[in-house]
Amino acid sequence: MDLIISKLAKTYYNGVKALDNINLQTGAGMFGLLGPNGAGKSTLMRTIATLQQPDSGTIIFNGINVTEEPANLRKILGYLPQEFGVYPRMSAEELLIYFATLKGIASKADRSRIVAEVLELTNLYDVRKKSVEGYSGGMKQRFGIAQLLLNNPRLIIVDEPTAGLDPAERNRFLNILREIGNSSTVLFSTHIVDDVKELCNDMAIMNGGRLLKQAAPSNAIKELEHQIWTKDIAREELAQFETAYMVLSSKYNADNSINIRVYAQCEILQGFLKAAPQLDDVYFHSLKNEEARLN
Amino acid sequence: MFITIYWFEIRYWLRNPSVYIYSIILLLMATVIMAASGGIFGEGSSSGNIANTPMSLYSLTAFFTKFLLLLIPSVIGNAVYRDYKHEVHPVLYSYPIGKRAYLFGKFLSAYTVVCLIASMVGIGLFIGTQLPGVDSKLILSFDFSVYLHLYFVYLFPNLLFFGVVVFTIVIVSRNSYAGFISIVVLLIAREILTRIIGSTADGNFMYMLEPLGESATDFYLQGLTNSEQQQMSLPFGRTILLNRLCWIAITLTLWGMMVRSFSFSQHGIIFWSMSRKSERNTRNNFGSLAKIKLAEVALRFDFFQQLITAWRLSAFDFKYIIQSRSFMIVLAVGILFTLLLLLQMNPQYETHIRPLTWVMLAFPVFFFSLFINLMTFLYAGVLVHRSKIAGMHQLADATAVSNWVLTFSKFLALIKMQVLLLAIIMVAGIVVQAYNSYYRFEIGHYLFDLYGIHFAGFLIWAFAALFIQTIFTNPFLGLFMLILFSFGMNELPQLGIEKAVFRFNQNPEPDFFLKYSDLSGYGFSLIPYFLYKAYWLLLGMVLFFGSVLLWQRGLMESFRERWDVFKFRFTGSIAFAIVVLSVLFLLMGWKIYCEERRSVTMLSDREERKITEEADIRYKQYILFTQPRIEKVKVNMDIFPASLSFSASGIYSIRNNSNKSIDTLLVNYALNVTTQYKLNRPFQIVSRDTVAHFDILRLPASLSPGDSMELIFEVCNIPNTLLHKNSIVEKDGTFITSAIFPGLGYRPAHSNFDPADSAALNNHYRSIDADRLDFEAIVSTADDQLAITTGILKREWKHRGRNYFHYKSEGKVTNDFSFNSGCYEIERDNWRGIDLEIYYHKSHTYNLNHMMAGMKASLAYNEKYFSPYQHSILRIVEYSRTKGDYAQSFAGTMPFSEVGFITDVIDSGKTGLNLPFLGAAHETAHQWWGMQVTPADVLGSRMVTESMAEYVSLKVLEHKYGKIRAQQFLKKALEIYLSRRMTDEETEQPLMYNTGLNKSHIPYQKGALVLFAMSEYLGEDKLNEALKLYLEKVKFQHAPYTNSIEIVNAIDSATPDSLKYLINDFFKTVTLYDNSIRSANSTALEDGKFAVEIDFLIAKYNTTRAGKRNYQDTSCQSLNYKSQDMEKPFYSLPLADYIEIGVLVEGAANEREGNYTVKRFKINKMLNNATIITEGKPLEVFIDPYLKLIDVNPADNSQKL
Repeated sequence: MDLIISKLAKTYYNGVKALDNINLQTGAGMFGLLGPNGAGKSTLMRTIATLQQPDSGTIIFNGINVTEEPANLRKILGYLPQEFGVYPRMSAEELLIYFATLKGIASKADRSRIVAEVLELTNLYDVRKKSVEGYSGGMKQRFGIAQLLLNNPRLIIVDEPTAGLDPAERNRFLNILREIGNSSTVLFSTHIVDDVKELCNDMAIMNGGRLLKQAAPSNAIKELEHQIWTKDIAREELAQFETAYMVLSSKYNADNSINIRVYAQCEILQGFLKAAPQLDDVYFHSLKNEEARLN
Repeated sequence: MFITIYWFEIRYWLRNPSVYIYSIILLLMATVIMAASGGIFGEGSSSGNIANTPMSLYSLTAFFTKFLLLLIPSVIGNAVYRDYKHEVHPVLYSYPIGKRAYLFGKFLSAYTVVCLIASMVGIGLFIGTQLPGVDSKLILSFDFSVYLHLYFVYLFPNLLFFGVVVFTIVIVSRNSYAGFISIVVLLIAREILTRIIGSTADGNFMYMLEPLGESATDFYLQGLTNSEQQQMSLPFGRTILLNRLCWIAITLTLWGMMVRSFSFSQHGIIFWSMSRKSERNTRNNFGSLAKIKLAEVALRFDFFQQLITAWRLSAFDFKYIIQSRSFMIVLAVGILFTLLLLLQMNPQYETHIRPLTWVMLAFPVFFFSLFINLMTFLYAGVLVHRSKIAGMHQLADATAVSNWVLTFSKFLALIKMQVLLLAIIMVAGIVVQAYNSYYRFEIGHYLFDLYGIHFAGFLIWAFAALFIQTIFTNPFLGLFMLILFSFGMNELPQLGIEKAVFRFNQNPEPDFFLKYSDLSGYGFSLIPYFLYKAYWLLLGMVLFFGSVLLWQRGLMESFRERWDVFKFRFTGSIAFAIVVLSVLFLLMGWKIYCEERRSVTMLSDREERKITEEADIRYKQYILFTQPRIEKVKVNMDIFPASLSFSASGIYSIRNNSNKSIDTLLVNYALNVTTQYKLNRPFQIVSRDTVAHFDILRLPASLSPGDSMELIFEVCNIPNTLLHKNSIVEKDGTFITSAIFPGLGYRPAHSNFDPADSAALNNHYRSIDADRLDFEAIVSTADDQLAITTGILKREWKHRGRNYFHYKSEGKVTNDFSFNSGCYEIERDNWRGIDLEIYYHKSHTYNLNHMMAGMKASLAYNEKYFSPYQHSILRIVEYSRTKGDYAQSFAGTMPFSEVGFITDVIDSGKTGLNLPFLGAAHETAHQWWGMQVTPADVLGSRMVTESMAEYVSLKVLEHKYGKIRAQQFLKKALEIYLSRRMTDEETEQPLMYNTGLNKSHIPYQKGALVLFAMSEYLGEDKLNEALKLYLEKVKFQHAPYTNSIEIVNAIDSATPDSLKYLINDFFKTVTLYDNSIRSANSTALEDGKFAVEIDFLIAKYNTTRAGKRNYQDTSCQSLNYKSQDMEKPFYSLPLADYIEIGVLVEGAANEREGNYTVKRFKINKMLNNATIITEGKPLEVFIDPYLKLIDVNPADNSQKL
């Protein structure tokens, strides 16, 4: 269940380079794709999900060449896009039966059984007769997971699924995803670092169409050990510090002072304290690094 | 705020390519249409009339209005729908925009855009008149005010109304298709309404109700001839004004209501009936961790399974279509319209055709084809773009379903919708049949016609619709293109592309299924129809696979990307299928094309006309050339119903009856058959015209006066081919006339000889090569059929499995005969020693008694007033309606179309005439007026034959069914006459100079009105006495023959001086009245009687040769009248006319029988006043209650009291 992406590139009609020579390799389990909005995450995921043609490069999953034989990948693919609508005035059950048909489940008994199971699993069974159009955000995302599971997918792609969910919904959602991740490859994009931290055994950070880093989260954190420093400063000082150091993040404290986290390979004085690296630091460090490289 | 929104929107539209596409297409269409009628493509495309008169510009804009209406949803509907589609509305609604500014800005900007697109029509029409190559004689100089009138009175208000409707519907339903559906529904409703307006006599109120203002305009065209209409400026008056104001008021009200109930909210406007029960929504948010172990399910992607999947998926889409509210509305309106259509079948004289299955099928088919195609075009777009519009495409596109399964499922859903819509015709047909107590439900016939024949055409359109809607990402643009495309296919012949092989999904013989006959079924055309459908179906399948290749899956942003995907997908079995199907399609097309080219076929009417017109010029000197006459005809005619062919041979005995010897023989032979002939004496061919089928022969030994010779001929049909039937033989109910036999002399297509032309008087109108002759024939046919021709049956026998019949004429007859063959039953009767027979198809027994009664009554009337019948037998023979729907009279034999046998006779109630009775009486009367009296082949001859036959049948009707029926007949005749002269493109000639076969309203309807009026003025006995004197003088005469002048003189001699003006008005000129009642009121008198006082205006005019109204008599005298409230005076010819004023008095008998208290006045001025004393309570006043005058506008000749 290996996903191997090599030299993937895509430039949009309007000149935006959405994928710039992406090389990526991962196996079973949860793979988190981190990146700010517009980083090219969705393009990458759509491309893997056969919905978009790359300009060049190859994607191979489990021996299937995705761009050459999309139909074969789709048989084992579960995809949940960032945003989706549904046919109006159709209940969850009807829609799932529809998707089950689309996914090629031949027998009627199989269709009803699997639909009942995924409804149960996503805790939508009680509202299965209700129109999906009227579902709340969390329910709709769970419906998205339900439809994705129908064909027992080996490769699952979920694009920013936790955006806009309340904490409980988010938890439930991530749990389900985690469960699935045990037996298949789950590609999961987000701009929330915590999602990755909690779930993924592998991750990559993307920006500007490039893959900045790929590593297991724990390894990535380990790499930054002894290199993260923190300090409370006054608001006016921020600009000064930013020019002097690689400031990874800054946030207000309750007393209106600002706490900054700085990356430095050796110890810095000036009242900096050594901090334990977090995944956030990995993320910001990658982005800053790239920024610095470009400048 | 309004301004900001308005300009924002306008800028949006100006960046939208569809606006430019619509504009350019309309501009081109308008230009081409105008240039074509201006003669840019030669004579074929132009009617020869001036192309841009105000009224023709009016008709053209009316035509384009319907196109523009169909565009409204994609612009005005889309203006609001866009905000919903892109989910802008929740954001937008939170901005501080007033709803008025929002709605006005949105609507007015879109309306502006629609008006800009609409202006392209006017610009195109203008450009069309200015192009080089347009015949300047056909173009009037540019008049801007006409265009302004058309735009501001019709187009802009109409677009405003329909725009507001669409805008409102889309706001309420938040569904852009609902806008389109509402246009379709409104157009159907309008169609229903105009039918109702058309069928109500006094519908002033109804003119208000038609939303496009076309009916209101028609109100001003009543009674105007075509040329008068072309000369007039655009009508404008109270009715149009009221109609326009009425609809602007409705528009504003609708707008006001919409604005009031609109609020910026997440959801659409919800009416009380749609609101749902509210419930509190809490959720269990703390689910536990689930252990995922899903059941193993089998995924199958084998071909067979994929077919099943496609079928299952189509069920979802089909359910979506039929459950949508708009579709249900359309369905309901469609059913309603079909029922109305079927219940309202109103052929001439208000008789009803019996609700046979083919009738139920034939009538709705035009409307329904259009309807089903529109639905197919629309829903192809809806289904193709459905998941994208719902935002579900990414989910669906990532599933393993193949493109072809998705495409095919959409196609299946479309097909299911078509099947459902077609079923409406069947259900409506059966309902109407049951309603009419007709219980012979032929389900098999319904199914075959709808699903065996018509379905193929819709199927092919479904393929095309799917393809085009897949190409275009904007479903409305696709819809418009499809409408344009299907419309264009119909118009291709006008641009010179006539062959069906080049016209997508068109039938080689359009509408052949409308000619279904109980005798001969669908006839020969069925096989070519299916061949052509198979051919287009091949292309349809190519298009289908094309759709699969172009199917939008995932994100395809540019055309180039789609093209790359297309190339990527063009592999394997799909590529193979496309290549194979394309090759098959091209091969079949080539084969059909060759077959069409190679086979000798019958000429089309147009080709035939062209040939005869050219020959008329070439052989001008041979017209009225002295020729010997045929004295005797002996014929063998063999009819082969199974192979739809015939062969005949015969001998003419020819004698020189002139006083000069003849050395040049002119032989003409029919165009659409193969003829061989020879003479029994030596001859040389001087010229042989194999196109016009006219030979000039020289007789080395000339034929001296009194000498005889023989012409021996063989005639057979051109062999039938795969695609063409080249004979007039039917499977059952064949009707062939002797026009297929050769003849002598040259008879021009249009023999417009003056009645006083003494040379022309030597030929009679039935044939120019014989006076009266002896006729003998042996006719053979299949062993289950009978064959009938003129004469009495001498002998019948069987030989080699065929039936033979030997007929011989009784006495001498004119040289034209019918040959009929069919599986007939015979109904026999006898009237005073005359054998009466009706040969009919076994299921057509409905009207036998009426026909029999008609023959008897007509025999009785003619024998009583004119002379004895000349034969011992009189028969009616039924023939297939595939050949026609008329009846014709030959000596003792009268072929009747089966239509006459299935007409439903309603001879009770206020309306309805017994058509089979009338028809039989009319044709029987021709045994006198046509056979005994045979007028010369000159102008006006049909007054002697047709007007007299109509007169006799009307009199017979009156005697049998009473005065009220005769009144109905006359009323209808007047209606037909007036409406036909409105559309007749040539100037009307007086009755005694009537011309042309396609102007039957003059000899028939006007003739009946005029002769009936004469019998009322003179008295029936006195008129008939004069006619009898005339008949006796000309009965069975030889050349020179009689003409209309002689019969008019005969009537004239019986007319007193005071009524002489009638002879002039009725026969010698085209004279019409335009009378009206100015005021009428009644007062009760002391003795229980009533005094009715009437002011009425009498106006009379005749028409000049150029078709203009003339109010001056020969001495340039004229009358005029103008009251204070009139803008222009009324004019009239000088009057010394008898006018009757009638009052309908209360009383059941009066109303039932049409009795009036009548007073006759001699009128010599225009405004008159009369008082009539009635015994009972007066109800209604009439000028000329018995319709003795021909009034162009009968509507204002009566007034209720």
